Amino acid sequence: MNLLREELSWITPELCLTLFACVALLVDLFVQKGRESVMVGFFSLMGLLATAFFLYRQYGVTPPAQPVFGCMVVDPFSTLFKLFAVGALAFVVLFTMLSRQTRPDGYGEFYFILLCAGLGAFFLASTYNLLLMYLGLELLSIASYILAGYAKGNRRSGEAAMKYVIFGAVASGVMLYGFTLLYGMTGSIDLTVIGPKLRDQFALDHGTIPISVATGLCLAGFAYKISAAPFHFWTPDVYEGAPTPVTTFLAVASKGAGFAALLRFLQAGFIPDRTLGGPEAMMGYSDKLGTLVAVLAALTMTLGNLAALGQTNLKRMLAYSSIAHAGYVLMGVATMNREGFSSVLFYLVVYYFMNLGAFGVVMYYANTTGDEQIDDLKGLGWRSPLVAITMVAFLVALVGLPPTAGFIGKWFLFTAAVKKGFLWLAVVAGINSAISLFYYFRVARAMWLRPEEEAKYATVHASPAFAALLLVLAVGTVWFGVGFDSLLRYCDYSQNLLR
Amino acid sequence: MIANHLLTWITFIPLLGMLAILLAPATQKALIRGLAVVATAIPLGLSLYLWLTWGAVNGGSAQLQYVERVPWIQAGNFLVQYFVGVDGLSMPLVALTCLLMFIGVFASWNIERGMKGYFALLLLLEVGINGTFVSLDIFLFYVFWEVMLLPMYFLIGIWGGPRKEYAAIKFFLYTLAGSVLMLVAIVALYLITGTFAIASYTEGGQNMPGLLELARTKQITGANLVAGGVLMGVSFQDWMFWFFFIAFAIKVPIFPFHTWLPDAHVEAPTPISVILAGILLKLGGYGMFRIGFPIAPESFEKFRTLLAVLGTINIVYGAYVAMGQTDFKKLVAYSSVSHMGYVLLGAAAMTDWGVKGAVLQMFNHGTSSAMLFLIVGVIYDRAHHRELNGFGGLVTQMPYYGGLTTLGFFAALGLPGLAGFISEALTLLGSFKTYPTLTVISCLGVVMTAAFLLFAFQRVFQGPLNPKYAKLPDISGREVFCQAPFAFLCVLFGVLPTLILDILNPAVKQFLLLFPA
Amino acid sequence: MSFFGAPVFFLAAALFALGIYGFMTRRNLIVVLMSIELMLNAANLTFLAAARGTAQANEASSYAVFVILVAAAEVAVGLALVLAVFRLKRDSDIDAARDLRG
Repeated sequence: MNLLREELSWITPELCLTLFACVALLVDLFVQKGRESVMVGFFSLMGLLATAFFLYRQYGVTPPAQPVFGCMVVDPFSTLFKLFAVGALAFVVLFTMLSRQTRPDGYGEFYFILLCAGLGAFFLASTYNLLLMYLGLELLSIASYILAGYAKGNRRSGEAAMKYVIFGAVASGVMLYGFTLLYGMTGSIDLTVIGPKLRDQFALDHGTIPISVATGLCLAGFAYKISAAPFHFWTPDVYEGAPTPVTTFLAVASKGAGFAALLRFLQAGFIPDRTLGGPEAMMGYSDKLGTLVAVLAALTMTLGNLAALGQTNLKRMLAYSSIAHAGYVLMGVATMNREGFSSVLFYLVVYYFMNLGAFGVVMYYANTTGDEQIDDLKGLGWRSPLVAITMVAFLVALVGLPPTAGFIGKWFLFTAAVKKGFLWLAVVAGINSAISLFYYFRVARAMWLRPEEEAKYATVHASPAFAALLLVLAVGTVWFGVGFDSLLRYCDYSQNLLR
Repeated sequence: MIANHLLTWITFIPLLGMLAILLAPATQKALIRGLAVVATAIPLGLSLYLWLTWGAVNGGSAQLQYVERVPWIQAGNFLVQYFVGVDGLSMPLVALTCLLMFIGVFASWNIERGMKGYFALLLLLEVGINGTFVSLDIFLFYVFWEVMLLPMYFLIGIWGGPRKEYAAIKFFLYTLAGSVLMLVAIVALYLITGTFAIASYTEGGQNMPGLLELARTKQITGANLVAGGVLMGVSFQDWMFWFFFIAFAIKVPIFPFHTWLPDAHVEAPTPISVILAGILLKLGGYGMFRIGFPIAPESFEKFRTLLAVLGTINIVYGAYVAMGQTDFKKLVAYSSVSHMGYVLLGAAAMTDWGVKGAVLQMFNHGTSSAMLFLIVGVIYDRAHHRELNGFGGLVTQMPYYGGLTTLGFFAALGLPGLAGFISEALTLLGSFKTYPTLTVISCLGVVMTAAFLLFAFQRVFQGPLNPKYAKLPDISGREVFCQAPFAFLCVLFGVLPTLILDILNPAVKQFLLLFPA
Repeated sequence: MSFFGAPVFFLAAALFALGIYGFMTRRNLIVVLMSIELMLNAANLTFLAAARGTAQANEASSYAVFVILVAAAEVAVGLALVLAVFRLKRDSDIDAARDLRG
């Protein structure tokens, strides 16, 4: 009994989130019509706050790896990602409450599904168990499919959801098949067992073809989730069609969880234990895998950036930009070492601030004008300077210029890549950053370089609540570009996956 | 307290001014202007103090002065410091920046639209420029270097001429492309050496060698990063040298990378052109002297003939293209390309005179080109065009303006007795020892410069008065006030060059010591 | 490694390949969903086949039950969304989805 309580205490955040998801569902039933969004949203926020509290308490005392029920693991890595997901969810909930697109009736369950998706992200981040990883992924994905299609009667939303579900189901099916192959080879679905077993097989030098096939299938699934090339094609359609708060969720929380699972998968299964030392063949395989990821990274960022150049729709442009950013983050993954993974964590936190902010501005803009075209932002800077100034901060961060966090994030990714010997990748990423300036600053150009007289819309001012949200994100974006040492330490502390 | 943190005050007072301006109500135009004046006047005063006490404080040594060093980011082995200081190389440029910014505020007096944003950006620009000049930590240097880009983009893009959007993004893209290369080089440097400090310092009684010290003692080979320090058949040092060189060359700008400059100049409003030509270009040259060349001394030795050729091309090509211009501002812009060529030529020569001339040329071009752009601004404000052939005989109508223009033109074309002569003569004399042929070709550039400037003067000021402009008012008191300091400096350093050469001397000697003979 | 020699492994692989093939070539959304089912069942079969005759046979069956559950949920959501789109467009062909392009 005591043992059960002990184990349960490690998953308080998950329990708390589940509880509040149910509360949100119940509140929706009893609250009067027309006020669901505000009330349910409020309770969801409370739930997220409570979850964040538990997570924060856990963060300080988390042991290097605390197994829970033999299938979950609680460590600083997972806790950081959960905090990341909770923060993203909180902003998505706030955006939903403030957005007109999601104001109408029937948005009570929206929050329930959103919290369930968050729960999926929680499981995805904190397990070595392939089956639980799959279940977490599916919980996250299925909830996301519904969220993407939530604007009923909107053709674009419906189409986005449909594309998402078809491609998503295939990707998760492929990944599952890869998992089963790993199971077939090693007789276990626990990555902590699979890793040593694979090492033995490498030592026996059985040839790596079956392992390569299985790894390839698994990686395809992860690549889909983080929208890396060549499995990125769904991203622009889904991001554009889904309601903007949902897009924000997909671009930030969902992608973050995907990276968490990917890092854990690679770390447990394919990176030789530094202290024990792996067989020569495994070292070689790990490096080859890294090179493959590096090539994918280069491909992803280049494709994303080139496609973003031609976009006229702001949301679609940001979708391609998020593909490009997945490419940058993959640079850190490609190093297959502690330093690289730490830089991935850092960049994801940075990415969280700048992308939430950018999508927040898109939402504000679409709300007030019903328009998502970049060119129609003309003169916005002069009409509502606060929103436009924060947008410039986010854009600068997305390009990766100091003194914003985007620069520091890229700095660590570059450092990790160059240290691993991927100088070419750093140069490719650098050129890509320069290219990205062009399309990001088309937004700044429209907002500021066009005179006020050309403005298409007499923009109403941002509500104080919304302005405060954007300011928080903008301050975060700049703050972590100037005083990032604490964040750096957190990321390093959280990245103790690798011995 | 001020003296202890002099450089910090100089750098960050404009930032305080920017915040104050952002908080001020947009309708209070006088208040905003006043704040801008104060926020630029204080650094100017401090930098004057810096200059006037320079000899007394350092007594002709090449040591870095007013050094401040505190950890900025510290996590594990990762240590970025707020490490600033000036020597004879950077101090005059800091002073020049403060002066130009102060004048820039007055030159911007007529800006009405969005003036709050304008002055805020102008002050942010000053933070970036001064920060770059005083940084002795390469990470800090890079941060300040990039901080300049954003205000510049908006200053050209919002307040510029008809093709402002094109010019602004072109400027931004060119500079960013260069700085991305620099970033990769900095990352590599950090991984090789584990330090960001450019200059050496002592920590707890222990000497911590900076990057330049490590480079001089041949400890930056890159062998611990790529096998044998050779990547794709090119040595690591060479890669790094070219990465830095291209980044700075774009800013200078050196010949194949110069195409952003005419566009940016033509479209930028007058005060921004002044700042662009007066200081931003110097950052490229300064970067080469501070980091680009000494970080890879052997590569520099290997390629310096090529650099001298590039410098010569700049001098001759810039002057040649300027001869064909009919737009007054474009002509001045290309004259900048030509003048900045001396910097590269003199540096490549690696003689005491050549380097001294190159450094002095940066300062002198800062004053003379600022004056030229102000002159163009005066006529543009009155006639609303800059077509050289559209004027004529203005000297009778605007005698004072004509007089100042004469001085500015003569300073730019290197008339003895004015500042430009000293630096150009020093450069050419210095480089003649090393590259006689190139120097002779460069002298052609001097002749061409004289030709296009005098020809332009003739078209605008002499001949019959264009009746359209018979009623143009002469230069106003504010405009004279803007140009007077530059005119004064051109004459002062033309007559008494030792005033500045005494400051440069030790720094140049120190610079030459960074290269193993 | 003996597992990869078993005939049932090849059956599963063939099913998986068939699922992929169906997904790639068919334009009807219902058939596409069926192909996805095929892939998931290939995975199930591999699970069961890999554990056959070992001590983990029971565990593997429970994994398969989980996967079946997930597959059911996925198809439920998938069908609902296809239906929603069908109601808007009167067409269950995948090519009818072309509002989002670029």
